[in-house]
Amino acid sequence: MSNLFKELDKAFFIWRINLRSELAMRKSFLILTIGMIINDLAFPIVWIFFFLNFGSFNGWEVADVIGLQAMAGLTIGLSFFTAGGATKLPQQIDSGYFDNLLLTPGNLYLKIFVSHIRTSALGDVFYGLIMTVIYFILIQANILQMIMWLLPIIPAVMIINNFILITGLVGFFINDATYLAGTLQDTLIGPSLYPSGAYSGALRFFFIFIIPAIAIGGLPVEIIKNNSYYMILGIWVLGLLWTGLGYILLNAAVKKYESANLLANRV
Amino acid sequence: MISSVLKKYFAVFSIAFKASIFFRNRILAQALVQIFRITILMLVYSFVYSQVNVNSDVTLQVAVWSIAAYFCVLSIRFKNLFNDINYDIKSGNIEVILSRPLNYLGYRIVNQLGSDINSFLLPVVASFIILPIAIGFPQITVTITYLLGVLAIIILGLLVGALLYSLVGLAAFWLEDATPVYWIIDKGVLLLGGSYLPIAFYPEFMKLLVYYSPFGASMFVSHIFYSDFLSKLPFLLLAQIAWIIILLIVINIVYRRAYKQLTVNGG
Repeated sequence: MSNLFKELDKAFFIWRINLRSELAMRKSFLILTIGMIINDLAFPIVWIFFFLNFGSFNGWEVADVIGLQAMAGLTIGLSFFTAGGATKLPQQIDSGYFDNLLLTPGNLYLKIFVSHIRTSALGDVFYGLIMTVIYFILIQANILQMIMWLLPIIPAVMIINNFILITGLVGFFINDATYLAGTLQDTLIGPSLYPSGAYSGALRFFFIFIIPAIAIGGLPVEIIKNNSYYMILGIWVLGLLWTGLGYILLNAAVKKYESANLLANRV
Repeated sequence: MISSVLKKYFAVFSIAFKASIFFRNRILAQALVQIFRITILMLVYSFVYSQVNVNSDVTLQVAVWSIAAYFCVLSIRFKNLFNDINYDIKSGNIEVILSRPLNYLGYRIVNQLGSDINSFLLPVVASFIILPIAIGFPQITVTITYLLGVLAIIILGLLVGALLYSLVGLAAFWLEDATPVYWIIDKGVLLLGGSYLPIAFYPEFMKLLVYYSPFGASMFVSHIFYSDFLSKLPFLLLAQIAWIIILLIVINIVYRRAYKQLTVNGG
């Protein structure tokens, strides 16, 4: 257990260094963050018009879709902000940078996540917070609902991180897999922004267990709607399962790695 | 003279096309993601239409086929022009391209077309297989005029999109990072192009933005399945031509200014 905390401490240290280097360019950081908030606003506009036309369906209304946008903003933003390195894995394999990750001390799994910070993702987080406030006002949330809202965030971030890590593992098997991995990641992020009330039957099962898009946005909204503690437990179980899967698959895939033997100065 | 210039651009197109065939996994991945998106949206709309009484002449077939048309054209990825131009300017790669006997923006646009024309064809073929089986065809009368109109709308729309993203790319000459501007333009196209919600469902003020902005004009392809498409065709074509002229003038001014302040460091 103490080993785990030591590794987490090391990973946090690397993350802080990366964050400081990103914050050094404050103007760029601010523009990216504000730009991302404006960028994200397009999605609720589309869905608001959608519900104005179709009214509610399967129990989903405008307030729920605001909640969905809020949760997706928070979980996706936190994932890319705290553990953006997984998105860079195929690029790191291709460029030979993965050698650095292998040869430096510390846990490889954690080092991959903290090797890169996507600063613009902080814009997603702020957007998520703004939408959360609007959502709470719309549903007139009580304290219990606010607490229930917070509980699925960590497992949802775990799911996103590990899904992205697993898609990035294709880089160990296919050359120049950056684009392929990116498109595979889109299969999680894209459907997570649709109201989960529209997914039924086999499609719902697919988007919870195979591509867990509902788990990172729609399910937390359903937790509030249905006041369901079981769903919170379910998301935590999913988060732990995806973490285990990510860890096991990484260790299996890394055996396929051959150093790119890139000749370059690394200062 | 003209034929020799055309030959050069054709050479750029064919080199990019051959290179794209070499990276088959990339084409396949991109096409599969677009097919995935179209299929998911088809299932979502099928479910919504089965649950709700829609008070509109936009049938399920029209809604889904118009969204499919949007995503098929999106596959050509003219939005990538921003990343390419941004990269050329920041890396100094622009020096290499400027030394070629070709117009820089012309080279970039033709190169992008050659790179992703394959990724466009696969979702089109897949849509014509999946959608008729799943939901059927929208009720439109296909005539020679209709087909020529569709072709013109696609080509002119692609040109508007290419010029729009090129203009944002040129902003990199002045801005530290033009990515937030790109995001805003990209979401403008997503919102007003009819990506997730067919244009017919927008309120009147949004429809005005669709018809009179370059964002909507770049994706008029999403209008081709509406019953009033042929009656609106002259207006749509005129709007696209007007935006092409305006964007060409603006790009010309911006490009000249950018060229004057271009400093490429040797090394």
